[in-house]
Amino acid sequence: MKFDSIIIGGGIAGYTAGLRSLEAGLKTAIISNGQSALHFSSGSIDLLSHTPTGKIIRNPKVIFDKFTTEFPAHPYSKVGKGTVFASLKWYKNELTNAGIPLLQQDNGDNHLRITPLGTLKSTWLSQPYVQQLPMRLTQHAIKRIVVVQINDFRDFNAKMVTDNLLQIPEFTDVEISHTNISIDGFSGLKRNACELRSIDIARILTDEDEIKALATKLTAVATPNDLVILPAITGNGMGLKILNKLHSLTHLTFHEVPTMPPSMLGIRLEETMIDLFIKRGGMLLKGDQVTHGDMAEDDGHSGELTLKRIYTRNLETMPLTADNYIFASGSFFNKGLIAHHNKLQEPVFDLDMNNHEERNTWYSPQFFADNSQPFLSLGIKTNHRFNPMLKGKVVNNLFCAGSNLGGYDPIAEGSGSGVAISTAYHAVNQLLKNTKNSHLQHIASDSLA
Amino acid sequence: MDLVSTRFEKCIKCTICTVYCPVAKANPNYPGPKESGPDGERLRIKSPEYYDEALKLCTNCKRCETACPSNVNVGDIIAVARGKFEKKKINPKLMRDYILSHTDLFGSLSTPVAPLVNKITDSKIIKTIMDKTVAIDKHKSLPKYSFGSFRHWYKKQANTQSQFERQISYFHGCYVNYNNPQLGKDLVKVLNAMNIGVKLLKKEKCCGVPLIANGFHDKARKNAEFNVKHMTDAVEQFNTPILSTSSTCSLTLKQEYPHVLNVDNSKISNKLEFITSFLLREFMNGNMPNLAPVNKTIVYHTPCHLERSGLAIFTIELLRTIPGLKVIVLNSECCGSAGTYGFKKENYEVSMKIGKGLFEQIKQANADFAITDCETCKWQIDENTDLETIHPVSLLAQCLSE
Amino acid sequence: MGKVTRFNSEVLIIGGGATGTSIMRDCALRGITCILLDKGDIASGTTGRNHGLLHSGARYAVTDGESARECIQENKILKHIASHCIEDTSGLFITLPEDDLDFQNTFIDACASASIDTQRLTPQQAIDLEPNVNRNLLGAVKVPDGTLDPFRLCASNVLDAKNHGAQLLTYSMVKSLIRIGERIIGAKCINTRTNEQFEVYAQEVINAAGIWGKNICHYADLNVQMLPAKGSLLVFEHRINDLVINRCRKPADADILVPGDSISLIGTTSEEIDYKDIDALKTSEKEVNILIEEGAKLAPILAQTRVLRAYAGVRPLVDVGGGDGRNISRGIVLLDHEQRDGLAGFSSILGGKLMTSRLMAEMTTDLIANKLGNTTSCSTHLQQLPGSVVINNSKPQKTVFTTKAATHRHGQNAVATFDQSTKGKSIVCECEMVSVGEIEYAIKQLDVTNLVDLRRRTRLGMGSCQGELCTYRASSLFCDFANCSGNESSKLLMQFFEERWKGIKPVLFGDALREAEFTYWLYEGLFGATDINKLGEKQADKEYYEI
Repeated sequence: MKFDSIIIGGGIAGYTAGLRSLEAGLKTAIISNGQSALHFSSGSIDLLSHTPTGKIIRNPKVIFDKFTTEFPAHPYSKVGKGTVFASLKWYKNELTNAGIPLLQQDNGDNHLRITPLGTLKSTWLSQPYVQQLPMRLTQHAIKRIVVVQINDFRDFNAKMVTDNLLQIPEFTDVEISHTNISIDGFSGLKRNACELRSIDIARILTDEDEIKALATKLTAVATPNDLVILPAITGNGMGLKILNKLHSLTHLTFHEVPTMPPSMLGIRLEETMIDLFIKRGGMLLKGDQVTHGDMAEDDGHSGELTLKRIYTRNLETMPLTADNYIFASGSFFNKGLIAHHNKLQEPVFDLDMNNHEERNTWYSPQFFADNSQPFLSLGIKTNHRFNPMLKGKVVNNLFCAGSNLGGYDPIAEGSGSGVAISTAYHAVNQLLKNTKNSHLQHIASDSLA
Repeated sequence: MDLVSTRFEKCIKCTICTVYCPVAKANPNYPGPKESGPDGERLRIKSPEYYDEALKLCTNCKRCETACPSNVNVGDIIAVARGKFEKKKINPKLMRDYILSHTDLFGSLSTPVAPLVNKITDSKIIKTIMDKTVAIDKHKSLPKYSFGSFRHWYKKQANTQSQFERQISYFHGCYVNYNNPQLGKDLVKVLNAMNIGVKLLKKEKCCGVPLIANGFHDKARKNAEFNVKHMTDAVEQFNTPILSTSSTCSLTLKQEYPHVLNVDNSKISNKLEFITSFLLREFMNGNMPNLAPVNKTIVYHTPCHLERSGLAIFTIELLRTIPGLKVIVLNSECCGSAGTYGFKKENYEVSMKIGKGLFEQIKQANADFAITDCETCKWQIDENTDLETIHPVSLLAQCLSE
Repeated sequence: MGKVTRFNSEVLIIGGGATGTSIMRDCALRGITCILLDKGDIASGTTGRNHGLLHSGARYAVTDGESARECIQENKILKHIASHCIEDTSGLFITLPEDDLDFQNTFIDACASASIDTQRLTPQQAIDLEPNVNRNLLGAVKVPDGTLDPFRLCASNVLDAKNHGAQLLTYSMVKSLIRIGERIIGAKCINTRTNEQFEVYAQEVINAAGIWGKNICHYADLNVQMLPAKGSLLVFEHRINDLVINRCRKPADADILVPGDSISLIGTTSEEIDYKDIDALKTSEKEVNILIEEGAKLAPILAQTRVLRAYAGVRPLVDVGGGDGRNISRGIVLLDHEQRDGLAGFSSILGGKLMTSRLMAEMTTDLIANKLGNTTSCSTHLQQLPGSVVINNSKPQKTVFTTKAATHRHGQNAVATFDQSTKGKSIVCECEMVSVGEIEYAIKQLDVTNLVDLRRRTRLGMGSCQGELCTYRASSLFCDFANCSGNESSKLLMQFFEERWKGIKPVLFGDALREAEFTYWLYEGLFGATDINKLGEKQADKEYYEI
């Protein structure tokens, strides 16, 4: 079965590539082996919070050129400033138009979000009910914070948030407290209500009466002058709508915080992207896994390989072919990379990795190490066009995107979603340039910002 | 501890399966696939005391498996556990489960007197009685039997069919045989138009899926061994592909036999193919019959088991070859029927709640009719929306032109 | 200069492992007042780092008949008094093609001499009993092995002792012994959590500190030669065997596969280490490979089974003569320092193994009781431990899984005291079925001060996810039950992950790496845990990247 563009991997990188492909008029398929890591993400888009050496970044655009000079091998440096920011602008518009507004600071600065533990983490784009604190934190305008504990909900603890926030020097003058609220719908369940996850509560809260009851309770514990920290418990396809309703009923300012898995904020991004992809005619092969591919020497470019076709577990004897492929298979969690006893491997094509060292170099002595975990930066080795290599030979119609790439640390840098979006966007650009179709090449050059 | 059990260890406790479980969504009292499957199995190995009766709330839709990033066969783990530990209480519900799942027995008894049986099961009084006694929900219409089975009809065609140079073997399943032989006839028509003749297996029993779902694993295993034997004979004799029109029979023959029933089908597994996969490949290779344009809009519903097999792409692409047809692919969600599950009174409400989203999508879509590959999905959509639902093969048969 | 708290009792026991807690119980049951100290939590030394094997003694039958006899006697006693800590699984001693089948006869005879019941099995019989055993086996001998949960044993000992008036002080390290002339009268200690100093005065001080006992002796200017031999073990994600599997040959590396509750473990290796390294044990890659390779010979499926973690313990081997390392004893070494060294009020009980801890305690307490003039006889072999008392032997009722699991861990009496509300029964640790009520009980009744202690008492975090889902929930419960602030409980959370990490690092491949990446993403990427220790830093004071 032939497609113009085949994307291996259904996460934020995969769906970015998929939507861009469709936009360019390409017949596009995504092969996704299970749902993605977005299910535990903050639902914000992390562009660049720290340099690889641990320095804090206030405004990613302002320091971008310096960053590129200092870290030339970083995916952002290879993608280039223009495309990085064009891709994020594009992503922001897509999601906003689809009903998930993504907001940023006017001056292009990062902003701080309060985490489920009551610490602060910087990010670049956030959903509407995520309170954005300025990087220059002394300039925040909060007078009072009320942290809401949902009674019997084990996956969010308001006291921990409160006590940690109280330690933050810039909040010395802020009145911070926590309060308990019950969800009516918990009673009357046969199952133990204390075992409900965020997704279960979200399902209860699709009921109008439940929303109204919650609104009444919230109004009793906070005023419109307060910042009300609420665990993310709305979703089911209507997460933001319900928050909008709660807001209109209470006039309270919410800060929505992700909980222990699953994260309703992250799910919102994934379900929106999948929905868009299918509505626009993309072919989604769900729950399928690419098992291997056929590579051949490229007649046109000596010393290079092209990927001819791929085989999946479900489609068995019917290979899928495309002129170009985007490889967004994810990291260890998604099995885009696997760790054998002493070797890291990319399991589909056995592409060259950026690391050949022994297992004891993959981790830090401490779990919460200041310099993060080395295995996060390990991944597929790519050239400047994000083509990977097979035993040193470039595979020139395969473009890698997202967390299977080596050479960056998504957690330490706070760059996970940014790298995923920009490398996927960039990969589609490369793919359009690479295509034999001149009409599509034309689209590619237009879309380069 | 067999191979299926050990697959649960890959579970890294991410909770994604619970997000996509339609039962957990509709019924907050279901502990969810994570607890019932991999968590539960690990504890059940420690002691059978950790078997939870709530596992019978699982519909075996396998959406948990489709969503799992660790490739854990959550649905299989639950099905095997139910087979091992679920206690069958002697009560009217057991009789109901027996009747609903022993399709060969009741199918062969009913088809000779179908008009009478159908009239009876359609009667409001009977439905109320069944509701009160054996807990078959009165809102549900039991499937109609055909007056005369498919095999009975086929006997007259066997000769003509054998004249074709190319042959395939058709595993017709219970639905075609006892309820809707027309689908089988449609298949024969389509394949003949492609110069392919249709053989039946010498003998065939129900694939076993309702038996598995209702806890009759021993009987299901016997059926499986029987079917594998006859399929092996057919392959050895004729070397034909074995095709199925039912997405669930297809999954069961290929996956459930080895994974849940521990029946070895390796000799013929690569010969088993779902019909749309076969047809699309033929079309792509140039063997496509003439199709008259169908200037209609259809909505396509992906059956859960077809999604799990990853074969919906074939049905969708196949539909897209029909000239003039506007194909709207619905957001994939479970219809709630889940085979015999939705007929049971204790499940009816949940079943309706699960399917609500799909019915809403269909309502909004303004299509002329619905297409789906699974018979129980078809019944569910027919019953709960205004749209007529037909099988893709039946649509093809209708638009064959000379 | 603050006032130093003083404690008084008849007996001070240093070391809260199996031996120390057994002595605590024995003393308490005889009406002797005692205080038990451990520099960490109970069972945090070698007791918490072994196979958890309830030896039948068969393993020692050929080489050390006396040890074997001791084992089988204690085996029977423990099955009676500590039934809730024990799974009576039986064990197999298998002969593989590369082993000498004739050894089986020697083995069976030696067992008989030690009164250990054996049953010779055909290969098929062994496979029927244990489907995952190596199917190439030539033969097998069934023995009354079982598994023994050392954490449960120690916690039960302490509970029984406390019920009879004893006192436990964990996280209390002895800094020096208090000596007057030729008599030890107590110890100077420090609470390692609060840094508060205190003193304990006792008529008799017992050194039951295992491999750390050498240090304690030093405080008395006494020398005891100990030869630390490290052994590593691997824990698998689930049970792969129901019977203990051993090799029927002279003992060697990695030849015991032990099931235990929800997991199986393979051990062990043997490596001499420097004494200074006994608190910094690491499992090497070589050890991991040996454990998997050799272990797979017992049950081939092991090679494909997910490994959860590695851990290492130090055998408390005592050199009983000459100091040249030749006379190493794994047997019981009871030193009456009054007799041996002219130093009264001080004894050491060293060596031994988990199996014989009760016996060691009996011998020690007999000695001490004699010195104190107490004539009550030992009853530890007769009286059941609290968790083993079965009050309701009728058909098991339908209980929720958390109650079932808790009953296995703590016994019916204790579970009856748990919070029976919906919240109390609700699951916190999904892998091991640990409830809020059980956690409350552990924090309030079982001397739990942090999540690592909690794990030992309840199995929280010992399952597949190694704490990914339950750590956050459990740490928040310390706010409810231990009066911790949210900040303190956040630090407990981090401490727990650091402890788990020690065991995960050596096996960071396959699903262990996936789980670790996921956990790190959650707790650092989403929750920002690392910043817990930097909350007091001003944003403006941090290092920025500017052009």
